[in-house]
Amino acid sequence: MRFLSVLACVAMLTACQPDTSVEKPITIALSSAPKQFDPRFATDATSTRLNQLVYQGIVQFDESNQPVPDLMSWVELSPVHYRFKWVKPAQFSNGQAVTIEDVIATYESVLDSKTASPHRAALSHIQRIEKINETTMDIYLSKADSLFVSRLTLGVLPKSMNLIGSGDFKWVEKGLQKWTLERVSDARQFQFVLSKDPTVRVLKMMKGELDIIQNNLPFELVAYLDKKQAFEVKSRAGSNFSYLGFNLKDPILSDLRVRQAIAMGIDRQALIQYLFQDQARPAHSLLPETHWAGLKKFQPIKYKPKQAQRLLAEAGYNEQNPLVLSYKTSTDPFRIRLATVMQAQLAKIGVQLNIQSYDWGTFYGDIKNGNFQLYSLAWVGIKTPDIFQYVFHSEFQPPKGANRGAYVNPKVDQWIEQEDYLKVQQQVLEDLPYVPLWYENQVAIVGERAKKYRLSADGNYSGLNYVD
Amino acid sequence: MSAYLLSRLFSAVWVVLGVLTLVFFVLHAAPGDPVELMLGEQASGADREALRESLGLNLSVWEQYLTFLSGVVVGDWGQSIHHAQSVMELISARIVETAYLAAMSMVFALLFALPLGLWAAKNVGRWQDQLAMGISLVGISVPNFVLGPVMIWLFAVVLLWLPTGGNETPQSVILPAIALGSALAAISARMIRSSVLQTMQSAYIKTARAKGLSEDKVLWRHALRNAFLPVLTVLGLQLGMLLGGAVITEVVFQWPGIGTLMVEAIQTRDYPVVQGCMLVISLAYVGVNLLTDLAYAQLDPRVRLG
Repeated sequence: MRFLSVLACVAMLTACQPDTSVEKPITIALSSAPKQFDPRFATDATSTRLNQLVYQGIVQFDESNQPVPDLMSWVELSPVHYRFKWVKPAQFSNGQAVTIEDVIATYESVLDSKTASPHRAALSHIQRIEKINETTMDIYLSKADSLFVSRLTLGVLPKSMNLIGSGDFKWVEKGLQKWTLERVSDARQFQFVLSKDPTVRVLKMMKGELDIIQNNLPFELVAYLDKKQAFEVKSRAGSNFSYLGFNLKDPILSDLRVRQAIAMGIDRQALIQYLFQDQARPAHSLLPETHWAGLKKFQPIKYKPKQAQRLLAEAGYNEQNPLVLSYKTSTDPFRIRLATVMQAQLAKIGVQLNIQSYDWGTFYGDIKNGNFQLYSLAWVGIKTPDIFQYVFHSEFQPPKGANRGAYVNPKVDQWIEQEDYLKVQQQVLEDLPYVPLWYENQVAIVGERAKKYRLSADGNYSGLNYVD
Repeated sequence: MSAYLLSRLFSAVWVVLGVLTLVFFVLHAAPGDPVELMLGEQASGADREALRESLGLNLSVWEQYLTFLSGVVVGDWGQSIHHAQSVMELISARIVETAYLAAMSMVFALLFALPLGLWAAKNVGRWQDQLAMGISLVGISVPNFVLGPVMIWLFAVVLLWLPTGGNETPQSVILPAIALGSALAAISARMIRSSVLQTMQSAYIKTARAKGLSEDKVLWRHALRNAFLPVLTVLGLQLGMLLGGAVITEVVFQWPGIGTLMVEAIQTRDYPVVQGCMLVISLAYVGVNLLTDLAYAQLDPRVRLG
């Protein structure tokens, strides 16, 4: 009888073994949850990256951030008139063909103020969209915009506005902490799992619960995993630009000598070497040199503490009259750590930096309202050079734009209007409304099953197409 | 009893109203604009206004407050600003998980604290007492953000006994419940010990001993019931706290609870979600306190409610 019971138990346990014939999904860690699956509303990085897998836009970007056809190719008939044609027939994941009507409906929905899409502002100069025939449509603008085509990356939805895309992946599951996509070509599943704690992400990787961790991992943990044979650390130059912003309305910081002294007093190379474990490179401008509009030749800012001290002395600061500044940052532990190291570096040239860290809402509110002396932030996912207008044109101070430090240089305004972006970048590097810090690398740790994963420069997940 | 209940429920309404009012005005006074956080700085003034209007943020703070209160009364807690879901949907999906984790933490805390506290009390001054109190000191001292990853490493990565986190299998709750309940277990064990020791000095315990009852019977039948009263107060307060969400435990173990939802909502100035979470949390506190008082009356006949 006992033997029979044991046998029954063994049989039951065997029956409960997972079915190995079904391939386990490739699992990717997310440090923050996606908030919006509708491309008309998504603005956070995670939602945008997942939506890029599911939806196709009219255009996408190549490696140098030039727009290339995704669904449609284009011809500029006049500065305010563009013609778009299908590159090839496309289908939504439910098998329904993507039509010109779908494209028009998506854009008209975004342009409708009742939709309250955050993407409306960038497209608000679209005057009308006309269907020419089943394969062609025209877009008319109210004003010329040389970068117009670059703005057409919005994911196209069916006329019904159901959340179905025509991208390489389709949704299988949208949970609270787990989101599953299926690759349309071969039904391979990819599971995105929320794991906010970096140490736990590493532990999950070690247990085999994760196949890919991309970014948002302290570099000492990257180095730790790099030593393990089971994992491969992939890294490539990134384009996300970190900077130190000055408030030029502040009487102290309106003095160029003070800004130059701070720029020369920060040892960026040491920060990159020790805090980033060399997974970053010094930045010089908002756009990296690999961008088609990026600055190729420039005089880099060098660490010159003695010259920095001289400049501060010239500006009237010394031991009796030390320079005291406040530095605002978020509550992110790594950002606070960076701030602390910069504080120590600047102390060597006689600058006393008081670090103030706030939750994101308060921090961002303060920066936007000009309630700061120094702050640090990063520009993420910048694709088009009109960012210079938004960030450095004198008319684009908040609330109209992001010229938060109130930088005013009529020459720069003029060059921005003339779209002479190289001159803009040269001048900004001289005037230093920002201290360019670094471009962080894109870093991914991959397990055995995801060895073929490829990193992209902006951190999107298109590299999942290469995973077996 | 029913009069007492009615009066408590009546006062609970005022407590909840007070909490909601305070949270509402503090949140709206804090710097940071949800529309700005949603649309970014690039949006035009017209777009900002359109969104403000659609979210009801164009109304005066008092109008928003009254709209919010009337919504609470009819069960409409509004739409999340950042998630494409209603606040009720967002919270109801998580409150069940939070309540489950809180209950499991409480069970763990009691299962651990009761024997440990009694063992220490029974062996007061000996090595067993010192060991038990040493263990409880560790429980109080080790923070969750250390205990959590260490437990994951040991039980999930090295021993492969349990999952690293999530809420998919029945075993998933074990590690977060232990992490969350460890401090409570430690505090309770200490309280049980001191409370039992105090009770054991009482005259009625001496009488019980004089009657020839064994030490175990004295402890379990006579001392424990009285000794448990102060512990009950602590457990009640702690349960309210656990129901309010445990952000660190939720983050470490990827537990989809209300704590992280609220913290994220505060960061993104998602007013309706913060207000909804606070409503649930204040109701939980009030409810648990009421239950604690009722339990008090059950355990100690000298306590008369009303």
